[in-house]
Amino acid sequence: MAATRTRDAALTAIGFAAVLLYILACASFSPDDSKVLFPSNDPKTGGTVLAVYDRGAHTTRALLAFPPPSGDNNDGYMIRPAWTPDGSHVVALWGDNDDEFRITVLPISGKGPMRMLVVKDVKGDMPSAMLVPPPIVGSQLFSGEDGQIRRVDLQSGVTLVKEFEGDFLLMGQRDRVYYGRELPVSGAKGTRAEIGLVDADTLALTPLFETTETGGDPPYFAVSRDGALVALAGEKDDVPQILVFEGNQRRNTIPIGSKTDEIDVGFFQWSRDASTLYGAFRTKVADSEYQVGVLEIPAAGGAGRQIPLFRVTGKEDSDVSTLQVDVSHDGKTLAAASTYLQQSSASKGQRRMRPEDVALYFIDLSRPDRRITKVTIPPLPAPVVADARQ
Amino acid sequence: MWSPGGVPLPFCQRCTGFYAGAAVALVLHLALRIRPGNRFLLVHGSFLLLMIPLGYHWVPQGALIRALSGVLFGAGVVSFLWLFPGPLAGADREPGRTESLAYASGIIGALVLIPLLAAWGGAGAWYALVCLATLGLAGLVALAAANAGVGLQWLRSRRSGAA
Repeated sequence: MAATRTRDAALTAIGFAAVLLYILACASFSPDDSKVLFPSNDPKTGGTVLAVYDRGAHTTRALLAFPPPSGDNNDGYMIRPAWTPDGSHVVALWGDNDDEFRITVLPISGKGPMRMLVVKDVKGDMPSAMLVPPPIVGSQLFSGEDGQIRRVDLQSGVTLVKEFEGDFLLMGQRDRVYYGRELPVSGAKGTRAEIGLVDADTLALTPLFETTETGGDPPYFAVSRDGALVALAGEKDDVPQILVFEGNQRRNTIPIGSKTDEIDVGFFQWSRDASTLYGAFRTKVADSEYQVGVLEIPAAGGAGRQIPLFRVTGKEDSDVSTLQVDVSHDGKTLAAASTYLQQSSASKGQRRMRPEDVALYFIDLSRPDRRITKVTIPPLPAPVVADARQ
Repeated sequence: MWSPGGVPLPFCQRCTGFYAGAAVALVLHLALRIRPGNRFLLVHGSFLLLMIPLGYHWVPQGALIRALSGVLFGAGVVSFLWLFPGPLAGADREPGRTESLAYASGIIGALVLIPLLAAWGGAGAWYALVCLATLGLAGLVALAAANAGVGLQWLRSRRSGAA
């Protein structure tokens, strides 16, 4: 009897341990890699919808619906989605006014208040927070503009702005904020790109290195996870290239294709182990027809790999930088949403992609064949064609 | 998260299965007054082990697998936590063929009904699932408290016996 009771005690302990294990397992279901934010369509109104895809449950949920295109706003709102560092809230940046943008902060659980912030007196064409994923440190969001850097507290809305020379692009890597800006070369023609760190408290700048071989204002760049490597987009003789810096020393220059390839490269990201760069590409395949996909570039040089996703047709007005690419934290999956490439921005309502290609794409980076899975985005409503008889 | 009748459940898919499965298993243990034997514990132990690859997302899974693994895990936890306080509720015999069949039918019924209600049920299904899951959660808390009481008593008696 005593032996049975001892066995029962041990088995009961296993039962309790299992519950503990379950609690831990349930808590590991974090939003970091289990969910993906992406812009989608409202098939009824044609407005943009911010949606979240649950990779485990294979379900999509609409989080925020934006007004449909109207007036001068032919394409609807362009939204930049991001997560807060703890994954508890979704941050959506959007706007249709040149000198302001809006920030919506909403809890992913659906519980708790949603915050709406209006950021005014924005300088330049587009703040960097709308162009690339904005750095968020704690509750502070950072954005670069023409001639200034801005910090917005996502809880209180308190904003700090500091003025500097140059047009800024800010990128985040863990709790560090990096900047890139183009400056004139003193006493000579041309410009130089400067990469450095932004102090999150004071917004003071600490330059890391500079180069005169980039193209773009502000310069597009990506920082590896450990901060040791910085890749900068450049161009030489009409051929795009990527410059890899380690510290303030140039480590490598990687040309992307040749002059005849007519290839455009969008924003890129480092792999987790800093061995590879991933970025969106667009290359011409025929008159008014382009292949769009993801480019895999070995950081040490050598043959890159093109992963084709879909084709677009029409005039050369599709900006490849609107193909939003993100690599999961475990480095095994790449996600890209083609929402913003579905219509021509030049001709209202002109379809440029097959409806089935408007999708959230997942590329399995752990497989040699780079298997692609698609989550279809609802198609936009049929374009309204004006009746010529009226 | 499931939303029967358009209203999200207060638990995730796996937790809904876990708590509702625990409620069903607890009711079956009480009604059939069974004391888990070795084979029974072996089967239910495998239900617990199932949570390692599934709970930690080592295996790709959808909503159905999450819920089913939750139901089985709930049954497993109840059977292990039932060992000490079970005899107090008159559960003093190992399940025979009839009890085993009745128990298995109950668990299979839960495996079929819980995801069906969650995925396709209306407002009534929402209330049924919330009640069942709340019952399961309360049952697990009660089992934990009963185990603490019986366990302490057993430890005391062991100590006094040793003295």
